Amino acid sequence: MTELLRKVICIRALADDLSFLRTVTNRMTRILDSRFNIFELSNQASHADAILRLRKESYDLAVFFAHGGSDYIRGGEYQIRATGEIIETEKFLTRGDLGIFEGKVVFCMSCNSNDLAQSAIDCGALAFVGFSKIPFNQFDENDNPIGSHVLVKHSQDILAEAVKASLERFVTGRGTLDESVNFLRFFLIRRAIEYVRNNKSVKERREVAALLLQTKNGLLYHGQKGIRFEP
Amino acid sequence: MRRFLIVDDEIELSFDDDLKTDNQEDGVPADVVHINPNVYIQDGGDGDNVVKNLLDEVGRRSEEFWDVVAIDLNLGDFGYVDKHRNSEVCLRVAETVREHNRSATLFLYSGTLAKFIADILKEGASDTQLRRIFQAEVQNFVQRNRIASQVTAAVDEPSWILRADRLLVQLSDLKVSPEEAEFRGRSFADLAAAVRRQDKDGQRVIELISEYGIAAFTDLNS
Repeated sequence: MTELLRKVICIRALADDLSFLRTVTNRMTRILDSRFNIFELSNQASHADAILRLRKESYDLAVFFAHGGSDYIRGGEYQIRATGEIIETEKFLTRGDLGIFEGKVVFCMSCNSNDLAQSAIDCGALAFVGFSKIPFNQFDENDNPIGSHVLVKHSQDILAEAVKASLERFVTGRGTLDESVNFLRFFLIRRAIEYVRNNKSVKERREVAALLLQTKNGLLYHGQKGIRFEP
Repeated sequence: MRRFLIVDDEIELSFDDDLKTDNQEDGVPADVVHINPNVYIQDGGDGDNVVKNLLDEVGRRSEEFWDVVAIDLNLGDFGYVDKHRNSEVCLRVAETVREHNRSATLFLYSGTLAKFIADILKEGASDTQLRRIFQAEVQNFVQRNRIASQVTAAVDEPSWILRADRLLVQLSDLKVSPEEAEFRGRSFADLAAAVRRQDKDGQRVIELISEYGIAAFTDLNS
């Protein structure tokens, strides 16, 4: 299947620890210009708007950068002005909403999104790229982050570089989506090995590589193969 | 070191020296291990018992690394009244090898090849016998007088899984790096054994080796 890429909708949850992916969206914007539409999930109004766009607009590819669980994609964070309280909207999309992806291709970079893939395909999505874990930090037994700044920063930078390169291949028509997913795997392997080899002064180098390989191991392609868009 | 497992009822293998000298690696002659069914036949007992003892030994040794396993089609008289059961012991040996070792190249050979193939296929359902041969992944039927040269040729044309097994065995003291969470700290000898068994771990190791190998070739700027 090769068609002209009409439009990409990118749903980006506003969350501090996802800001490293802005380099990806910036690159996509530069390549696709007005055909790359970003909707940032920050408050309830933005959630409603994003859902509406996903339902109504004509687009080929939906890209998600968000947190998530096995049954949902989480929304963003917003602050109540009066109290200053940070509110995190738990569920932006749930399994029951996946019918909006009928006829679409979905790249869903959120934890455990693989668990949503079959439902999305059953609802008519052409293909769904999902993840299991996307770790870029380490946590103690109480789920408190304990990774160093170097660990987090370097993991995020390499992950963003890999996703950027892979999505770029796909949206510029240089590869099919399934091939681009394999490319993302190979990219993460190569960078993980190179990182250990070339950063001997970084004491967390093996942990950084391990996090990248965990992401690689959980990266799965679901649905029909051979989807390629003309740029 | 190249390693060959030969199941043959000859007292001394006529091609033993050829295998050893033609397959030296860094000056080290090949290791040729000979399992002779007559040892078990001489121990006595009924046919089923003799064959069981033979297959136990074959299974145990098959768990090791072998470049080639070669099985004589005529392994002798195991005491079965139904002579066909004697002639199909070679297939049971081949199946046992494959149960324990999915990487070794497997040959069946005989001095009277055409006769034995005809014997095996004419008794019972020939499609079943053929299926057994395919499922045991027998690579070739070879004349006895050509088995040494065939084994030597096979050494230079290993299957992909045998290549991986061989390399892991050669580096058996190395350990998996800490960043590879699934197999962290396990020795390459351990991985080689899994590759040979092709159990869940072995299949995953092969998958990872393929992925890592292709990743190394990938132009990340393409």
